[in-house]
Amino acid sequence: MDFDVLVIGSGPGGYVAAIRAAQLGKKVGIVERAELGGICLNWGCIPTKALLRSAEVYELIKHSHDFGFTVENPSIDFPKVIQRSRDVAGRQAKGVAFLMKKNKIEVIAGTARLSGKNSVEVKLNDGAARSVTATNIIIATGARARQLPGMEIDGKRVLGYREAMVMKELPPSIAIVGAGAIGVEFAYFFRSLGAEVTLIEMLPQLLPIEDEEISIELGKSFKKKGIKIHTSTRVEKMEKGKKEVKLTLGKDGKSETVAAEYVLMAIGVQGNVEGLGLEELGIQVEKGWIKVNKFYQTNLPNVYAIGDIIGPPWLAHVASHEGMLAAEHIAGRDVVPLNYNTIPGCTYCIPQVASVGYTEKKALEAGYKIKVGKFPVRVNGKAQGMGETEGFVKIIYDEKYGELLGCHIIGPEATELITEATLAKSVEATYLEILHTVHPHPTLSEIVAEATHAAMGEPINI
Amino acid sequence: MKTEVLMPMLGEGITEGTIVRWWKKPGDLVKKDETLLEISTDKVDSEIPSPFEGTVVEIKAQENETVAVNTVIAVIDAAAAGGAEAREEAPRPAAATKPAPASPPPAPAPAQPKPAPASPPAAAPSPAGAMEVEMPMLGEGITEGTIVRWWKKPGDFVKKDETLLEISTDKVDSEIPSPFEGTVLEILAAESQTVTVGSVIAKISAGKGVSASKTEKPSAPAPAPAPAPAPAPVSTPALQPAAATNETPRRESGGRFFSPLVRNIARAEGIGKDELAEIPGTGLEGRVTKQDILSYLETRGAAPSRPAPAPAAASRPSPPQQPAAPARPAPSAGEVTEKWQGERVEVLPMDAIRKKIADHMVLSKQTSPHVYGVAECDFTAVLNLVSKHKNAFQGREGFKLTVNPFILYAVTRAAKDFPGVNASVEGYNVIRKRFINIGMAVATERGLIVPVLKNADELNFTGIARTAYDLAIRARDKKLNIEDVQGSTLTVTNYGVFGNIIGFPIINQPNVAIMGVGAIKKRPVVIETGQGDMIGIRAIGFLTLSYDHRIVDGELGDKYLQRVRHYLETFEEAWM
Repeated sequence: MDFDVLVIGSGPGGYVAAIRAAQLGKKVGIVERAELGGICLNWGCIPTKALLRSAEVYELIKHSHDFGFTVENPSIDFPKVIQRSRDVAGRQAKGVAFLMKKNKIEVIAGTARLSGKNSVEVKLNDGAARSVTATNIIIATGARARQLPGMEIDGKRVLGYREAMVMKELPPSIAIVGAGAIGVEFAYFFRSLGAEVTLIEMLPQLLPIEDEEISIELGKSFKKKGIKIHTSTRVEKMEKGKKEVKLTLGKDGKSETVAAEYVLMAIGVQGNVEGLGLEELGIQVEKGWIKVNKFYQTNLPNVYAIGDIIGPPWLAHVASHEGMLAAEHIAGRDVVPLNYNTIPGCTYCIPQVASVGYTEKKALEAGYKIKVGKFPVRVNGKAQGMGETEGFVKIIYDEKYGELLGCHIIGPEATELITEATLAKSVEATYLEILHTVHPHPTLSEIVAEATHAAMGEPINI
Repeated sequence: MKTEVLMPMLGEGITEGTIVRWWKKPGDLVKKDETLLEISTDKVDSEIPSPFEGTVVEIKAQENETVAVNTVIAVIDAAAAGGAEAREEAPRPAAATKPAPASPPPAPAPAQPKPAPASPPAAAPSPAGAMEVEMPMLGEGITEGTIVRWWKKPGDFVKKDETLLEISTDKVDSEIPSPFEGTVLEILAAESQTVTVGSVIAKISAGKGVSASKTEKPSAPAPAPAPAPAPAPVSTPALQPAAATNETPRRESGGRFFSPLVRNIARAEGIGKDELAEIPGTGLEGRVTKQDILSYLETRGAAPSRPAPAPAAASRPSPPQQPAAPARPAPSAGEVTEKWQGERVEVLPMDAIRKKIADHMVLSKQTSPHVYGVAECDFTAVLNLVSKHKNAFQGREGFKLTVNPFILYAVTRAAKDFPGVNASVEGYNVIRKRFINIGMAVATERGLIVPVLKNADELNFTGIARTAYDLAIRARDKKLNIEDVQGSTLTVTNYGVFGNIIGFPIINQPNVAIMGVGAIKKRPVVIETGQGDMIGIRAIGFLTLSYDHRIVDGELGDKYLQRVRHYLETFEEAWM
């Protein structure tokens, strides 16, 4: 065998799995057909965060007067905004190359196809072919933007997230189909820089997986920013013109037409299952996702699959964690299966949204009797100092045993604040531990403690 | 001027106490040193005098609530009475150094439009003359109940103890008697609504026969909102039962970690630490997860109760003063109530003192192999001294001379001769005490209490008599301090006061011996004299010494007992 472990795909799932396996003494190879780091580093999490930071800085400049500065006629150098994002991504990808080298992981640049349960044919990027054998294989090929028939991404007027993050010019107007994390983040980005943005969501709320109250709050904020929002709305027809795209929207049996220079399709992802040789090997695929057990083994026990390819939640941090667990399982370590109820979800628009655990609705559906505490950001001293007073923390406890069931944050640094609740859930803490934890003053983190006090009916500072 | 009354420190190492009863209610005038409330701790009950004179404005900790030391439990308006010694309501040091809280909210939070955040909900003023009926606590670990049926509707008159409503919990259905007499003014929780324990469910106009019932919330004369948003530890009413005590260890002896949630579940479901230790864990490092304990609970309900652990535990050297763990997982009050439902029994949950006694007794029997020696003792000499000195003694000391100080004196004096009985055991070490502190078992209405006569070896007869009398009186009046019940080295129990002649007392841990005294009765006995044997009438009582055979052998125990008997039979007037 050439390798103990061969990983296919070097996204946040694959490269982390490779490093972990190498740490555990395995001889590891990794196949990547494009850039190391995968979508996350190159076309997802990292470059979008760079774009969103630009948007945030621009908004701050526009509000500089509030802070005591006068900045006259700020102008946008859009190509520079894009370039900065690409630079950040590039640095990150180089970091991965270094990590592969450091951990003595062989990087094979090419496209892999399983030819047996221990063998992989790689069509190398330079045109040659290479057969590789491995005791264990981890499939981490991820996912790509989902396509709707009749509204395919053409890269010209109809874009996917990938095209949207390297646009040559700031679009005067853009319609975004899908108000999940990707749609919402791009909506904020483009609107902040001045584009006319229309956001269309089939389900009744923005960020459909988040708590309803959070979505309502986000909707209010977006409307204030001038984003046009259509929820419970379907795109019935798309007509591409030379300079613009016309969308026919259907809501409650009524039709409406929206025109925009560009359309961004952000309706979710589909797994990269094609061309891997799964069918020939009889590896089970269900609804487009590879089927695995809790240790990420496919029906071929030495073939593992992790990350987006095994289905939702499609999150980089989940893929990384799954990758580590799969590597540990291969190395014969005791693996405690991942608790999918303690996975935080983050959206990086302004105000940020982050959550972990049950929404209020889900908690009630699960049969819990709950205590819910909400505390507004605007009361918080640190937030006032920052001039970021939108949003609130909503925290949900089980009335019977005091368990922290869910925490939902909308507001400044929500994505950093969520970790307290995530750790609490992970160690099975109760409201008491949150209350007995001294939160530094003044910080945003106080809001989490205050929300807990509120859940007990005893908020201190309101 | 409003002043705060803090939960007093009742003794070293005591960090909290349970409020048994408020003697005053909002609106009442209280004098300095007049009893304000009664507090119970693991060790002792105390009546707490008011630290200053004034009008009670607010009561911030309810009866049955367990409160940490130094928590504000009441607010008294001292100005009303011109109390000079009132403590100023200055910001407490803790508050002074704390950074200022966030600026006042510009608008109330959408979800929590509560007007008075710092005052507990129970203190909310009710309409004049109206008494609030709270959802009662139906058993340990039960935090809520569903209202099945109201037997009374607004406008109805209800007598005290007449059924007011029917409540159902997941364990049991109960008919709830009205805590007071009056007219039902308002019903605040509808049928089939589930309500947290302690929530106000009805209001009743104060009728006659109102007594200081535990559930009653007399209306306060417009209590001022709580002073300063007290940053004191915030109590959490509904979830309080789980929060108040922390008996389930975070780490069990095997080094296993239990998450706060698992500990909460264990506590709520009555899973003892031994039982918890046996639940297989699937979490990190074999930890018991929420899912593990919940799955265990599902199967546990069906299984018969586990047998008690093997008595091997008895030989385990226990550190002194450790609270005993129940020998097997205690079933919750709810479970017990359910088990006996429909039977002609009454299930009475133990109060704190009773639980302590129960655990203590089990611990003692498990720790010490008891051996008993019984001696027949002629108290005639003692009784003669009592009758000879009783008038002078009463005149001099102001209380009656009894046999009791003679026994205490003899027990102490003999212990000086045989220091081996005045000891304790730690691991495989004997701790021999150079001081003799005699525990005196006293029966009170709330159960057995053992106040301690400190340094009895340094007291003369009168000193022993005086101290013992003072302790007994204070035990009866619930005025003992925690120090008064700590540190005994040897104990005396007198069951003779009830007429029994012989008993076999349980050693008061960590002592290694206890002297039991039976009733003294006149009996015909054979008296040997130089002129031959004759039958005489003597006052005879039996002394039982229970001793710990780990470190007290039969010879030592018996010799010590005989020495006590000897001192009593030959009690010299000069010793008095």
